[in-house]
Amino acid sequence: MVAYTIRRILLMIPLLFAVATVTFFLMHSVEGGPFDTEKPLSEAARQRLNERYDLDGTLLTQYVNYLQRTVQGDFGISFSNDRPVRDIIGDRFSVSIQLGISAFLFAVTMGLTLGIIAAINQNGIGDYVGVFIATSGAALPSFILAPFLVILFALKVDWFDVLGWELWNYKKMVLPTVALGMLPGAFVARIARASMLDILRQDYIRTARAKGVKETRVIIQHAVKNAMIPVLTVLGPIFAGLITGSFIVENAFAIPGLGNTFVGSVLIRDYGVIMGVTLFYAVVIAAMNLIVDLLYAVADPRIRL
Amino acid sequence: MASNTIAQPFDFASEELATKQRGLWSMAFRRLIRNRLALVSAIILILIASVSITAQYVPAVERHSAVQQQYTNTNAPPSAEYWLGTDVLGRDSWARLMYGTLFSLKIGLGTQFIVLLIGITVGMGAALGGKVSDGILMWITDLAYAFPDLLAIILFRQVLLGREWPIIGSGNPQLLGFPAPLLVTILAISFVSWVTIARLIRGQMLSIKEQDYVLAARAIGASPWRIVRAHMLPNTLSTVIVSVTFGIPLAIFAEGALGFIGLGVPSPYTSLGALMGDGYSNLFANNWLVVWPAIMVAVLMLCFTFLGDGLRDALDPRTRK
Amino acid sequence: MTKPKWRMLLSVLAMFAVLAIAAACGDDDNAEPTKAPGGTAAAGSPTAPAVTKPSGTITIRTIQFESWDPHFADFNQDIEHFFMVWRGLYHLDADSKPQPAMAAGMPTVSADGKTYTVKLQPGLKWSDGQPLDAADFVLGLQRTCNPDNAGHYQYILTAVVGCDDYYGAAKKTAEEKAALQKAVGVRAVDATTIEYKLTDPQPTFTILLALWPTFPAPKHKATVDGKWAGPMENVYNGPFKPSAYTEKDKMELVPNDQYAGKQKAQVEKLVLRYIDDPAVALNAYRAGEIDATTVPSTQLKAVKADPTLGKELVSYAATRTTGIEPNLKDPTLAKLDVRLALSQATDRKTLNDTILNGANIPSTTWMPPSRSGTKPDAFDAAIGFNPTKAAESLKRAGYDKGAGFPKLTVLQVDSATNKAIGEFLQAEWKKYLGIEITLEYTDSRTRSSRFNSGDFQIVLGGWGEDYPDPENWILGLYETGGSINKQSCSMKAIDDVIAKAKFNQKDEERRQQYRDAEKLVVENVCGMAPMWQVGFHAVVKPYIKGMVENKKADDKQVPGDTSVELWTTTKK
Repeated sequence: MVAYTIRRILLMIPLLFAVATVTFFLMHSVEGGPFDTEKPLSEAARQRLNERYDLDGTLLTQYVNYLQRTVQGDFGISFSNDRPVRDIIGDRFSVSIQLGISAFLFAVTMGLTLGIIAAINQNGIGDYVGVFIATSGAALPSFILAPFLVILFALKVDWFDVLGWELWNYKKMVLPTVALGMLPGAFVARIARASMLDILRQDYIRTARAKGVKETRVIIQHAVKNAMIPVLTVLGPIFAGLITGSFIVENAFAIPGLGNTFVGSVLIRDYGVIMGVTLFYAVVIAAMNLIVDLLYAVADPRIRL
Repeated sequence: MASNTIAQPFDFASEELATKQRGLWSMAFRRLIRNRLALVSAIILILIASVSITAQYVPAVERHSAVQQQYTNTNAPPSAEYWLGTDVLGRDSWARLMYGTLFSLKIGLGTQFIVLLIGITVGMGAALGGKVSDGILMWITDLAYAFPDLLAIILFRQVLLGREWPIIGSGNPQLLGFPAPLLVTILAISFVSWVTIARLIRGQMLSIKEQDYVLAARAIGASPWRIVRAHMLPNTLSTVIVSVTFGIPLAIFAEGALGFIGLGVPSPYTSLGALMGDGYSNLFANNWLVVWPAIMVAVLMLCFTFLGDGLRDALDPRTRK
Repeated sequence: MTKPKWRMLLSVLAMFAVLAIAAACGDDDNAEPTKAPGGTAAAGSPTAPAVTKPSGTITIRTIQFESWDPHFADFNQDIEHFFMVWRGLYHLDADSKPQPAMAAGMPTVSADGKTYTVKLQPGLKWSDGQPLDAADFVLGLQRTCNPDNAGHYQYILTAVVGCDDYYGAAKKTAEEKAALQKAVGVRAVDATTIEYKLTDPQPTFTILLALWPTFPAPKHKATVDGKWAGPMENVYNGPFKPSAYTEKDKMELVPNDQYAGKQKAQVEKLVLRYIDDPAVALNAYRAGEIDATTVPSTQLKAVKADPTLGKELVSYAATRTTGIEPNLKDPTLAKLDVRLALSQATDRKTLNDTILNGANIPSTTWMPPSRSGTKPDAFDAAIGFNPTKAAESLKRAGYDKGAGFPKLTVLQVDSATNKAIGEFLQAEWKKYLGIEITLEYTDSRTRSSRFNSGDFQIVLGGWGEDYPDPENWILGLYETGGSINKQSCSMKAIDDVIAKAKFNQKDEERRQQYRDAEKLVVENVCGMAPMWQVGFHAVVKPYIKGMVENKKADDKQVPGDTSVELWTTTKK
């Protein structure tokens, strides 16, 4: 397993290189540059800025320079505010990861509870309630769900705040968490329910029951544990998706997170930030995939790495 | 399983390939029909699709023109004349909802069609093409997965829209019913969302490849193509169909989110996402504008979800009690 | 496995739940007004300026600044921040007239109008207690002219001797740059006297001394080409200074006790909350989390109808004009009659009333009335809405009833409102002219790139004022080869009148010459058919005083935000 892990980590290097290369050239082929602001800049000023940010050479020289800097751990500076890209990512990620973990815990708790209750009460009242909550939660896209939550729970009744994110302040935590975690929660619930149903029909569960093992023990010790494997596969990407930030939810609550920053940087062609965040995303996603695969092997002894 | 089933005999006909396959399909269909929720969902979906298609051609269904602007009757609430009211330019919200729904359905279906094409090709190639092909294809999949969706989508729009390409640009010919901006949106969303299904198909195929009946078929010398066609593809079908039915509403959501950040379909086309975006910016001023497309999206999401559940239950013999 | 009716029923219920949520949000017409803490009862108490101890907190919505460097930046929200923490020699009052700020009095101007001498107030200090003297002002101006700093607003200082030469010296050696820096026409005569040398007598120079490109730079913190310290590390000479800052989240400001202005800050704390989406900001205002914010035009009707918000709304004309900008290099649009036809087929009033909820002031003039004194309908006869004239114009151009009219594309930034505007024009021009136009929507950088490179037929756009003078509406914009003349307007008559006005020391004559230039631009639709003067709309809580009272046409994000020292609050 150690060898496998090392091999996977080594494989990430060409992947990151490829991501950097593709992003670099695609990004520069998009029309409009960082200095195409609404008020046209004078030609002289534009030239100055291009020189200042190393945008005046050919694309190839810029690319080589970029790679050289990146290998040395220097992700460059943001055109828009002159800060090092690394600091910007650090700042924003520290917010996004809080919101992401909070939404992840919400999604997993909600999803597993609803999914398992629905499965052990198949076609009973618990099933209906579970399915009901899960589907209605997923029925609206987050850019509609978020403002609805704000209007209902922050304006109609003053339970929560409209703005911001603050750890351990429930007034600022609940709405963004729900808005972000609802859809993945519903997704987890569906997978958990299906997986549980599948497992509960397996022979070894019947055997356990036949042997007179207590039903709660059957469920908890045998069924839930085995039903977790398919759930685990989707949790990795969900977790990666949640901690890297959502533009929609961050925008709806004015939260200074990474999703907001990334969309903003693409729209204003802040090349340094685009490259930095893209590489950062790639690392997070690749790491998540690796962790899931390792967990998978731990959870399912049949899988050998 | 209900007791009064007449399809029982087919259940055991698995030795004979042809019979088994027909049995699988007819069984599945019967099971689907008995799943009332899935059935109702399917009926609602067909209804929505047919009304929205008819509205393009039959003025009685369209009721009022979706593009005719009436500046004296803007932001009207629902009435007997304008069932869903009118928008900021005084256009009939009903007609616009129908146009938007059809556009979004095309996005959902079109996206899944392309996603399937790519997903099956890559997934199959990886699972069956040997170690090298598996390595390369999975590496490309990882790359696509790690690449930010938004950047890819902006790029697609940039490269394709407004240039004189045939079919996907402003040039001729154009695909009937699929104007260039629609195709560009479909391509953009599909190119960032095929990864999941490619992985799923690869996983399924790898596991089926080792199943006894495939090994047996190989042992008796069945041609590889026949094995793929007769055994492997049908057995990945339930995964694929479920993924597709969930993929449709997710693609509709994705288009909506694009419209929300100003990267949606250009006028005069409209989609549910664009309608919701309009509605959001007019929240408090005219709330009906967001309510109707939101309800339509919710209904589509729920119906596709239930239909997908029903299909999975119907296609997967193990889920029967 | 038959699924019982139960499950179906619940699913239907799920749909109803969604519907109910939607409807709950939908039925908001008679929503109870959000409780405004404090109410209006205490609002009347007048605050005696200068003597009151700062009290209370004001929270406003703004947008994250892009650059903290006043000698570099150009964004509206950046400039808003600068005026809170720094001040120049002069400051523009509510009538946009320069009043002494750091200066002891008005400048002494030499007879030829080319030398300005300004005396500083004695004993000025930066917020860290270090002395602020003439050398800081010299360094500030040099930074704006510096080639490596590449300030966006260098163009307004081209009249300063040597500024252009220095700015263009990026590729020169350090010694050459140092020599060019010395040659820039600004010097400290003594610690409290600054002298500016101009190449030509620029009548608006005193105004420029009130703007951020001429703000002082702390010589103990900054160098001419070095990095400008961030908000928490820098020093300040304005009414406030930052006490806490989180990028993209918020900035907190407290009074700067070294501020030399007569009116000191009157609130203990000023919080700037960074919110991109104006609709989100308006919800935060409704919930009482912020005290002032702008109102987007889509929300205007709803805000007016709201019993509480309606009273808190303040609306006035901003110094920003929007119109149809045809590219005169395009063969079709090179024909004056085509340009006239398009303008005459544009029903500005209906467009403004229906799509923009009456947010703006329909107009055929280019300069805002507050700058030119001209009524907004002055050029209606020439280019205003008139379907008959429009049809005739198009016929004269050779496209009777739109026959044979070439493909025409209107380029806009993608947004719900812009889409509606585009669709309106598309329908109206078809109705009155019989022409089919294509609408193209892009993100704003693409649009700007296309505009700046002249790769467009028509864009909808305009101009926002940099400094309060008519010349800022004409210079560089409409003369042949002007640096921001991207529509390629080129008319000898316009060039001539601009050349006369540029360095004219007789103020009234100069203003009239710019009015003449405006008339020529508009009546020839020379790159601009004005549609409206943009309206500024904001809501301000009733317990805040000094914002609405000091509103100005060039306010940035909320009323009166270039003179924050005048704000007070009675909310505890």
